[in-house]
Amino acid sequence: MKILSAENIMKRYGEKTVLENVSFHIEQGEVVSIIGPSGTGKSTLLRGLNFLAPPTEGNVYFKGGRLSKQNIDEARRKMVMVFQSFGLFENMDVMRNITIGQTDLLKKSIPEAEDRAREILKTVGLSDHAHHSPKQLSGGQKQRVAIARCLAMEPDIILFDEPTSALDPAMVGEVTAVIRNLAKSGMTMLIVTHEMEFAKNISNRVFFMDERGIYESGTPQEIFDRPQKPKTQAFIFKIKTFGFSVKSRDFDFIAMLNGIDDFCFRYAVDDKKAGQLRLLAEELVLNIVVPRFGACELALSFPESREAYHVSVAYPGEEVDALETGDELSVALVRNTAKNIERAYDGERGVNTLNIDV
Amino acid sequence: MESGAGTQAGGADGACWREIMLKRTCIILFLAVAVTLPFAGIFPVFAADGQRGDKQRDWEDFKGKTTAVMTGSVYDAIAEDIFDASEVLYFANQTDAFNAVKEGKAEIALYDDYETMLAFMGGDYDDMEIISIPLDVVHYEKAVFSTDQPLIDKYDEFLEGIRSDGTLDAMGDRWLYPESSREMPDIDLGGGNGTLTVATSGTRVPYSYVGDDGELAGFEIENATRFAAYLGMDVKFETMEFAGLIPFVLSGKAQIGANWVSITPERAESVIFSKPYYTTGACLVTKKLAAQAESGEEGSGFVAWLKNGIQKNLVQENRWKLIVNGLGVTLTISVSALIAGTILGCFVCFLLVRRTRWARIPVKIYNAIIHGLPMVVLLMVFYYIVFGKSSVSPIFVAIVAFALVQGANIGVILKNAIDTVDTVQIEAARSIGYTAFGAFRRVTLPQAIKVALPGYLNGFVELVKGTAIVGYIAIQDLSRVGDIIRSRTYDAYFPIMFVALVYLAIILIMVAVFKLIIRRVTAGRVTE
Ligand SMILES: Nc1ncnc2c1ncn2[C@@H]1O[C@H](COP(=O)(O)OP(=O)(O)OP(=O)(O)O)[C@@H](O)[C@H]1O
Ligand SMILES: [Mg+2]
Repeated sequence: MKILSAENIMKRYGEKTVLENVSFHIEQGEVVSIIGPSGTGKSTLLRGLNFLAPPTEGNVYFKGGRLSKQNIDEARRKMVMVFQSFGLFENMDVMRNITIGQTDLLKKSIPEAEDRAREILKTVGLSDHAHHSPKQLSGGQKQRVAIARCLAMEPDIILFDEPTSALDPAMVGEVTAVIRNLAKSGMTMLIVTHEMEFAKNISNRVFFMDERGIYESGTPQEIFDRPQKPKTQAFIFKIKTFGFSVKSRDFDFIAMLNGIDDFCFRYAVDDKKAGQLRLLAEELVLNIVVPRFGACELALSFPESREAYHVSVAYPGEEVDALETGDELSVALVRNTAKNIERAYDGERGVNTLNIDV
Repeated sequence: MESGAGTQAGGADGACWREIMLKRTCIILFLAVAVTLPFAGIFPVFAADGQRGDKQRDWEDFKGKTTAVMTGSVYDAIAEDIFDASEVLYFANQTDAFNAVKEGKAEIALYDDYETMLAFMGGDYDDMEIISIPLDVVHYEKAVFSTDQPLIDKYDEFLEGIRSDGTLDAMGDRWLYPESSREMPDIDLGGGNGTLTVATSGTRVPYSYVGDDGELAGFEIENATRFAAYLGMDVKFETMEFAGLIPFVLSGKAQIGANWVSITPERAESVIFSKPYYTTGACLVTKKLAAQAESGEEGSGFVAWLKNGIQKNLVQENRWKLIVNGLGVTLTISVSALIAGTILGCFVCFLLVRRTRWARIPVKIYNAIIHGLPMVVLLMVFYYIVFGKSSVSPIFVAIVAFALVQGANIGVILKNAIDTVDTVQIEAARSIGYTAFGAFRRVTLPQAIKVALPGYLNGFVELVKGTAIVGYIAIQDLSRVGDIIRSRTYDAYFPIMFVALVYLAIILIMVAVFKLIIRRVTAGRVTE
């Protein structure tokens, strides 16, 4: 059963479009992780779903009904949210944090609400902290209370916005453990997170966000082991990249070489590999491609695992292999250094690309 | 005895024989008093030459000195024109002016000769002497004033009557002499023609002062009351600083001013004076030569001083009742202004937290005006301009003015307090289904109150202290009552110190009460 759907959501802040045409469905009991680089609208998406920042355009359907400003307060009781920085009510103790929503909004009696609160506190492992003030709790404990406060509303879905990002690494485990238990109990959850292992283990589905929307989605295996699209790959494999554009024959090649040195230094590329990258770039760009084609795009990259280093040079024109017509000595140097060389041609844009592994 | 001669000579060219006679009797009576009473020697000018070994000094020796006068009185003109004073110091009443001389802040003080003698009888100025100024140098004609010519005509008619039937003499006998009974006669009022509102100081013995059990008494009080009776009206007195009398009448808040006021050309330009009923002269006071040398002698022990002070300033004539009433007024104004200011402050805060500009601009303007004006000025603006012609009670005006100031302050305090509550808590409340108002009530407000309370409390303390200026608009609050007692007992220190203690006590009590509330509010929330 579809519990939550987004239909062509778009969100604009002034001139800036953060989300565009975002649509998806969440099934009852599903756990969906949302990952992606910073600033790609993950929080904006969650806050759009519960109208903390209502979408500029598009519709959200929750349990079949379309959400609007009129019915949102009602809907939020069943679609609660956990924040990165907890948001515990500082003027109340732990117990009151968990009972106040029940008594105010669900119209439960105080004893009833407290009984329920005690049950929930047990499940998040904080039974003995019922009468602590938020100030006396650690970050991990605070987040567990925040989750307990949400659970007290008997929600149908919980939205998590980076629930562990504000925590000491040592405390991440106690919060993820609670969320895992919720998953086991069948709770529907939408979790924005930077904890990749956690996302991979807990989710049924993963959304990778970039380019103003869900850039790629799939099962955890699909996204984490075999991402299909370049930005997903770059993100998952934490690929480090250096790019340089050459626009004319008298370009600033010193700047290019300095850039390569900086890049290698910054990511501690060992001297041998750095020497090879530099040699390839120099021969390919300076001696082979630019003298003949007058322009090119250079890119150096490697994944965090450092299992391979890539050099790519793209140049415009007819389909032609630059290595076949280039300066012989230079081409020999390139062929000797490279482990593997591929050539591709994009006929539409008229761009040749040489992909070289080192 | 030059001054006696001066009296006759000076009186002859202006006033009628009755006034000359009065003046003369005054002086003769005082001579008698000065010689027979234990304070003999206070008036060396009138007493036998060199009685205390003081050299006889002449008024003309005191030109070019630092001179103390009462604000709004005629004496600053004399200080400038006749005495050529090196500096003129202004005081709210004559007691303060005399004390300035006593303490060496001024070399001389100028004042009405008759009142000065009365003041000196209290024994507080034994180290000072009175030097009289001949009537041909200065004399003053006393009259009531108004802005209403027909009313003044009526008064002149009335004066003619009481002068010819002997009532004026009787009034003089009743009030003006040391042995006068000083008891207000019963006067039948309420002829059904409305109420005559009279501006007077209430701090001028024996013309207008607060007598037994806090009732106004004095020559001018009787004078005005009789006049009201003559008109077939009731009478109502408004008391205020001397300097406020003329503005008060000009603003129409009183129909007539009666305070033993001298006719001067400047005053006659703004108000209309009646025909005069008395002529008086001026004198100066200065330290005795002996006292100048050995100033600073201590009284006969603190306990005696305290006993005497309590007896004279609190017990006698039930003056403690005045203090209680004054305290009541101070608290009424403070507490009402606090309540009204708090409501206003909430509204100001509500506008300040709006995102729209148009909501904040009026508040900004309001804050700028309220904070840009000194409190006294604001109070006067409200009293004389905003509520100028309407006859609302001055206490109400004070409450309004102080409430506006409190409102501006509390608004900003609340706004800042609300800003300290982090928005995540509010979003968290909203995200589990609270409405904006629900989140505000449950989460923002309790925390904001906790943050705001110290500033709020501080503001209230400032408010209580700030109300001490309401004397400017004819309100008898705690401070003003202190002045009234001082002007009656001529005791410079005790009333001030006592009033100070009362302020201190109420402020400490208020602070303690508030602290208790704070503890309740803040402790109650967490364990609730
Ligand atoms: N209230 C706002 N006003 C203007 N711009 C905003 C606002 N909120 C977010 N943005 C912009 O929208 C974009 C997406 O922000 P968002 O917080 O959703 O990113 P995110 O994916 O959650 O990033 P992170 O991982 O850092 O939390 C950012 O470029 C941000 O600058
Ligand atoms: Mg975010």
